[in-house]
Amino acid sequence: MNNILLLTKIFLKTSILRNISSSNQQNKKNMFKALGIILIVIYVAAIFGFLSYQMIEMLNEVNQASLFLGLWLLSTAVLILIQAIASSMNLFYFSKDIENILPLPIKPYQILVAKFNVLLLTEYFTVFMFTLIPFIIYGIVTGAGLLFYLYSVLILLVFPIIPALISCLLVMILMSFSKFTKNKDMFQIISMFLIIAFVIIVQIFTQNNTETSQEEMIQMLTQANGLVEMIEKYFITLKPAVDTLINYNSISGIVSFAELLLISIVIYILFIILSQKLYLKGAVGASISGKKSKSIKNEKGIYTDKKVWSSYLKKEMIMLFKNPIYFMQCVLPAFLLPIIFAIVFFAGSNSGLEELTKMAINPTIVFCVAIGINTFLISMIFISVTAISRDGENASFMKYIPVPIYKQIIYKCLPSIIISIVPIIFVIGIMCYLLNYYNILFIIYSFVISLLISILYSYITIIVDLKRPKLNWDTEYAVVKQNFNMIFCFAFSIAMIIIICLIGGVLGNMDLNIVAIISAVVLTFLIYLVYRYFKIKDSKLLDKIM
Amino acid sequence: MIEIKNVSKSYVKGKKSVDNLDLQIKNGEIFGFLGPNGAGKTTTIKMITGILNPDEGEILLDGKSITKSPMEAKKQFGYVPDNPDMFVRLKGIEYLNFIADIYKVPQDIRKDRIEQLAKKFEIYDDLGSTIQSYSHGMRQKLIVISVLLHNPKNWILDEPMTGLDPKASFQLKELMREHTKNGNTVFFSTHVLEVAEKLCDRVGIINRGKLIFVGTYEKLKEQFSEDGSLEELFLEITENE
Ligand SMILES: Nc1ncnc2c1ncn2[C@@H]1O[C@H](COP(=O)(O)OP(=O)(O)OP(=O)(O)O)[C@@H](O)[C@H]1O
Ligand SMILES: [Mg+2]
Repeated sequence: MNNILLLTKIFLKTSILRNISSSNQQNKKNMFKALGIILIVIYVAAIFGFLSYQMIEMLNEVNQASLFLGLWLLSTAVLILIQAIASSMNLFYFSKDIENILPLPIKPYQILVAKFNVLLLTEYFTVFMFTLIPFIIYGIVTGAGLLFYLYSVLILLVFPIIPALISCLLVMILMSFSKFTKNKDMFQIISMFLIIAFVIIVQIFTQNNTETSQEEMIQMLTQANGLVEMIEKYFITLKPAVDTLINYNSISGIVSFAELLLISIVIYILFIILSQKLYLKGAVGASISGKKSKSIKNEKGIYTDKKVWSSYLKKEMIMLFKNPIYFMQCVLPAFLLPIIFAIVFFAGSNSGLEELTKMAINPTIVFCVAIGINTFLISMIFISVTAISRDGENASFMKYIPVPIYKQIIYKCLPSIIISIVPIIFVIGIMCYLLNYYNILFIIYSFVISLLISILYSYITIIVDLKRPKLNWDTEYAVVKQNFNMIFCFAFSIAMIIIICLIGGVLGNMDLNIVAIISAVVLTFLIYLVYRYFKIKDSKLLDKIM
Repeated sequence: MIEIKNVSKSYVKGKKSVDNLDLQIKNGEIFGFLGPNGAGKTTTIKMITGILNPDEGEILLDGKSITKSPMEAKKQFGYVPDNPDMFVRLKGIEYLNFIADIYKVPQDIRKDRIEQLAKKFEIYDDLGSTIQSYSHGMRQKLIVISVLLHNPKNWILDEPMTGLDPKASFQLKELMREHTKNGNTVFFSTHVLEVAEKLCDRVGIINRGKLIFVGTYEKLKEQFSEDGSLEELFLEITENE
């Protein structure tokens, strides 16, 4: 038992808490961090709260409010399933700590339980964010008693166990085959693609439903309830959980909860017994990348020399594209988001589009819209904001090679700028097509200004990373996912979009040529300022790196 | 030639990790830097290579200050860090080419050197695979090769022997000897006393940031205990602080 607690603490520290209760005991910084996280949590919780409120109200009008519980719990389960697949893969297999733990005299089941505890704790965070407020709203709308809230909390603690277990088991079964595939990178990419595909499918479905009336909506929800009832047969904890909440006032509520608890415990124990062998088998193989060693004898032109900048850029690109985690987190959003954006536009309601077309008489407004969308997409590229952190312990390499630091920084800014060209062109293309607006000046201006914004974004976010690098990570995942610096990317995009809106509002009637040229001059000046800053500071830029 | 002039460095205020270090490594000399864990060896090397800025003092590489004219100074040395896990997603050959581009090594010279050194260290057949698939020793060898590509006048190596098999370690020592024969400088840190005895022209011993001995190995033996094993000698010196 002690071992388990100890391990849980260690894993928790190495995976999550490192970022929150950070090592450099500066309270002020931590306060800001905490504040930022709280704000995001409130924001997300508010969105879910609002969504669920509408559903509950609608269902309550036809006295079917209890349907909501099953639906929402099912969604929670799906959410946990997806999230736990991604995080259990990292937690169980790709975090470095396992290699240090394996040789210790600790029983496999203890490692397993400890890791699972950490997974569960992270899941609780999401679950509470996603479900607590909707349940409170449900309680208020249906006028439930105090006991209801107590049961809600208990259920939110017990209910996530089984979905999380299922994900773990799935991952473990897949990973035990890694002996045959032995190709960790490929495997990671495929599984991440599956998750993204799922998100896109959900996106399409929800998009088609925006224009439905209330009756249709209720009909749909009832239909969805049919789905819930069907799944209940297989997903055996769903029914007891719902029943507990519905019958919270009577004995049968307690019985249902006892049933839920019992099933969860039994399955938990079964899982631990079953997965012991499975886990260690996969875990040992996880750090092997199974390619045969390749000779360079028969390759031609391998020794050709390149300019420093092009060689440096090539190295940066390889490091980005060959690493599935970095690729998924930093590069892919740039390609994926325009596609989602296109889906939203094509499948979405036409009314917004019509309004836009009406406004389209004014080229300046269209220009501002294009720039605004591009700014948003550019700020989803997390290449520069992690450019230093991604190197981890290799970051000091920059300091001892005979290439001026400011030049290296610029080279490191290039990938973000180059990759941003894809969404920029894509968005401008879609806008032209949708609005049937093929104005060459509009296309050129939007492209140039978007590119300038992308350069500025890249320069500014790399300064953020220089000032607050995260170099001591144990999984590459942490560089992107547990990196507070991302907040600056959003800040940049929000500030930019506000400015663009102001321009659109104030200068909306001004000639497009003038607006574009003024923006170009201002942006170029700003970029030049940052460039001067790089050049003057030079080696001082890397003071945080040792 | 490496000149370290009264250099001090502290990570935490009040605790000097390197304390008023004064050292000169002459041309044609192999210099071994010894000391227990946490003595300040890596810190010293990081200051020589420009990764850390000294709080006080100055460091010159062939007369060029690493802080005042860093670009010139950085061209004068090749550095093998203590952790050889460099850019593991690159292929061996990609890494070597990258380094060669940075130091502007012409195509024909780079081809000769890479082939000759990679064959010598027996990793030529692995150059086409990613560094991730290399063993610790293979990574170490790759870094050593990359450092030799531009034939720097000063070699600075942080614990270069760790992880190398006896053969590779022998070859590395041979390379060091050859290098100094041509009037160049080798500066390396190590924990292996035999290496220091057999290879180094002079050794320096550092403990808790302070240099407590510089000189030839014979002088070291003379000055401290006459008889007794190397280990005893080392323990005596570092514990009498
Ligand atoms: N990044 C750092 N932050 C704070 N203190 C550090 C840091 N790096 C090293 N130190 C401290 O500086 C001192 C010297 O460390 P250094 O790494 O130079 O030792 P070393 O001689 O290379 O040891 P080893 O033989 O273990 O490699 C140690 O006391 C260490 O605690
Ligand atoms: Mg060291």
